[in-house]
Amino acid sequence: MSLPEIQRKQVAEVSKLVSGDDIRLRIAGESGEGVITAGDILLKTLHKMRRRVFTYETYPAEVRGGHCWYQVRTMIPEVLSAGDAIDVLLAFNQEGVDEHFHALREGGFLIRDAPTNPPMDEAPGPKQYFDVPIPMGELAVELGSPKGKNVAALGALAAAIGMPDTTIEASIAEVFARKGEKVVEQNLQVLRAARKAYLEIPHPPVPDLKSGEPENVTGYLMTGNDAVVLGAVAAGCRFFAGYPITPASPILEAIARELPRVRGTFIQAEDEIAALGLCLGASYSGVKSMTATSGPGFSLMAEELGLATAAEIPVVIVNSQRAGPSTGMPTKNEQGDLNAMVFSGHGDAPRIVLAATTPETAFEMTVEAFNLAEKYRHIAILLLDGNLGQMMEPAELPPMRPVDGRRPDWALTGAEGRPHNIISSIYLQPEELERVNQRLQAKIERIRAEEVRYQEYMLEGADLIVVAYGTAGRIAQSAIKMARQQGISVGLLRPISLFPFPEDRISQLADEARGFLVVEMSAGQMLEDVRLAVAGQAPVRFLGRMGGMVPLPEEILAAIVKLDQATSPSIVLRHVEQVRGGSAGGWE
Amino acid sequence: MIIEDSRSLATNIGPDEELIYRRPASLTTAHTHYCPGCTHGVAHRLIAEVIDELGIREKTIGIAPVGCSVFAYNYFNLDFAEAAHGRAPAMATGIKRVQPDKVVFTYQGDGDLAAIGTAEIIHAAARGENITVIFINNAIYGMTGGQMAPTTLPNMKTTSTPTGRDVELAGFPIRMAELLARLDGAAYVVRRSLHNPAEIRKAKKAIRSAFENQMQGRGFSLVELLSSCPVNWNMQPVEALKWIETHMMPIFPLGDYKSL
Repeated sequence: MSLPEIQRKQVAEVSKLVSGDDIRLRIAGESGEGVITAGDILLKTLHKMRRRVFTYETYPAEVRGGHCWYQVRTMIPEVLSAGDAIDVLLAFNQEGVDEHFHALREGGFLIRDAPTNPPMDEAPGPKQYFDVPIPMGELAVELGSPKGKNVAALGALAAAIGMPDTTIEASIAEVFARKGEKVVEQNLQVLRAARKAYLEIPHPPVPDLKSGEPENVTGYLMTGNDAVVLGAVAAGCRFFAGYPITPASPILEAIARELPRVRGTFIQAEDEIAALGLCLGASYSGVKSMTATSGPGFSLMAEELGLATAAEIPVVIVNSQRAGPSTGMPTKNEQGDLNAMVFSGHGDAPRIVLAATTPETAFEMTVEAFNLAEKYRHIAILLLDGNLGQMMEPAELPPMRPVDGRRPDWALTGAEGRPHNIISSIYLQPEELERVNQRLQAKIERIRAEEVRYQEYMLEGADLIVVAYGTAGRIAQSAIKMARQQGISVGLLRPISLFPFPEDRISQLADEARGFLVVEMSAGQMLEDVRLAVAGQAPVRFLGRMGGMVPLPEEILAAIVKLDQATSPSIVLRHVEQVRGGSAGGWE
Repeated sequence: MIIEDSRSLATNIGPDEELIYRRPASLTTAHTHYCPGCTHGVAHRLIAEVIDELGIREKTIGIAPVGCSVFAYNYFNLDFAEAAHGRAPAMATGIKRVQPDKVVFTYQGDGDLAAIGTAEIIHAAARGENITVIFINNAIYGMTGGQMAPTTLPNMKTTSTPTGRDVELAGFPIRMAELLARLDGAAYVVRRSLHNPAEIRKAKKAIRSAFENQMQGRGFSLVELLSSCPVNWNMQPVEALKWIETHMMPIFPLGDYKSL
């Protein structure tokens, strides 16, 4: 096989870039072709190499078929975003080639199943890339493993980026172990054959993909959803009821496996109303309970939020946000539920809302949610999004402590040797109900005073403040790094508790800061909290993406640069001079 | 085990008197808010007597509905909770699953059980939850002011069917006992009536069976009780009891729909 001149020219450039520290890979194919499995094998391998990873996956909402893809970015230092242009595209079918070619960077690798054609549409201009057609499907069938197209793709990839053979082979053995030795062996053969096929075509020098130091990556590789389940069990959750809903279902499935191991109870409810009702029943009994849902399911729970608030019943609700409103796009993420989390349900009482950013923080925040729910006898909501739920990363877990299984004295356990306990929210005298509500409000005030949680990044003395939480917060952190490299004095405030909101800290920052930028994957909900806290002391700008669009670090960087220019002291000075000089003046 | 307090009748028995009737220990001394002639009081008493007789007062947990009997927790001397409207079976399930050694029952009206909470009762029965359900069917919404219930009889006048329930527009009454008895998960589903002493005795027996079933781990047990609502039916109490027999029983026949 001989490469056209133009591609041969690419080879050297490509090789130089791929041996770098930062590699962005995308696997694309038909749902059912093993895209997600390939991604998981890749992650396990990178984890074994002590490299850091950031993943992003998207799959169709349909039950079967449809296009899906999985993106992995790997670096030795910490990775904060999925990245923009990709270095390697692994395409299992023509759609995989055509749909993602645009994302491949100039000089990137296109590893595609041999029967596919090179991309048709190269608009806006011809892009130079290294084309690697490998007969993935054919190789797999020949070696008696017809589903092994994904493993063949990994074989070619491993050879191209210089992944150690033994490491990826160990990952394959792990992933297929439960299917038996024969399946493991067949897959290894497919992997090796594809690796050989790659090495037989003219290719750039194979780089040596560097491993990180052992201390670079510690902890267990897990998804955000796994972390929530482990956090719940560690916090003493012994009851879960839920109704399957994308993208929260993996939590339900995982906890259905985990709870019986700790003699806990799992019930699949007929709907989300019953799901929360079941949880409240367990909570009435003094047992820690949790449910997990997404937007439409949460809406159904609103009635019982009122009951739990008024009757002061602790419960933890995980909301894995999807793009909405309504059914929206179940498999894409958004941050459009914040106001609903804090305020939905009838009556006056905002709920505790915590947001996680990584699998590790998902674990921590789940434990925290249980502790706060119990401490205040209130609802605590953990805010995730579909992406964070599926994102697989190493998470370092704190040392586990024994769970205090004692039932609180208000629990309904039978009136044995004590007056009967009543749990109720009903009061018929206005004076009495007002007193109850004042007591609830006092509790909310205590939560506001004592439970604010946030994380600061390069905030000390920063002129500009970016405020973002969850996935948006993580991407913003990577934008801030870039802005700092450009010499812009900017820092990040990442609220962990969305209620109570870190309003005092923001108000304090507003005394000194030149401007604020709020980044959300919504039309702007936390924006209102920031505006209230800033109280006109500095301009507050907003960058929001919706409908499942995730803001890119570059996009946030551009907004930071704009804010920097608009609030730059020299411009203020010029503005003042212009006013003095009698001109109309104005901001640039 | 009977616990007496200072206000109990028991302390006032003379030497030649015999105690034949007293407040069960499972009821509190609170006066109920029920209207004159309402059979909720009878149903409460039957449940309390059964709980006393079975000696399970200290391990029984009740769930009150939303409706006239929302304050049941003030009248029963048991651990008791309020439910969101219709969700009592879900909450009872949560309690029972984490405390299988306790006796858990719901007390629900026809709006709570047969309208807003239809899903919860059907699925609790389908799962065969080992709980006891007391279902008060008086064919009307009492607390909210006499509107149509899912069990309102055809042509029956209510405040929301002022010319009578037109089945063409407002549908037919739902026979919950018959419906739930068809589910494999249900162990014991019967309908009784509270309109005369003989039927009240049979009702108590059924309630006892429903609690005993739970104690023996037999699964979901439900006793539907035909009850009167003189105020919203616009009748005298005695007339209302007769109306149960003449009008409700033909639509809602008494009987055992399931008994394993």
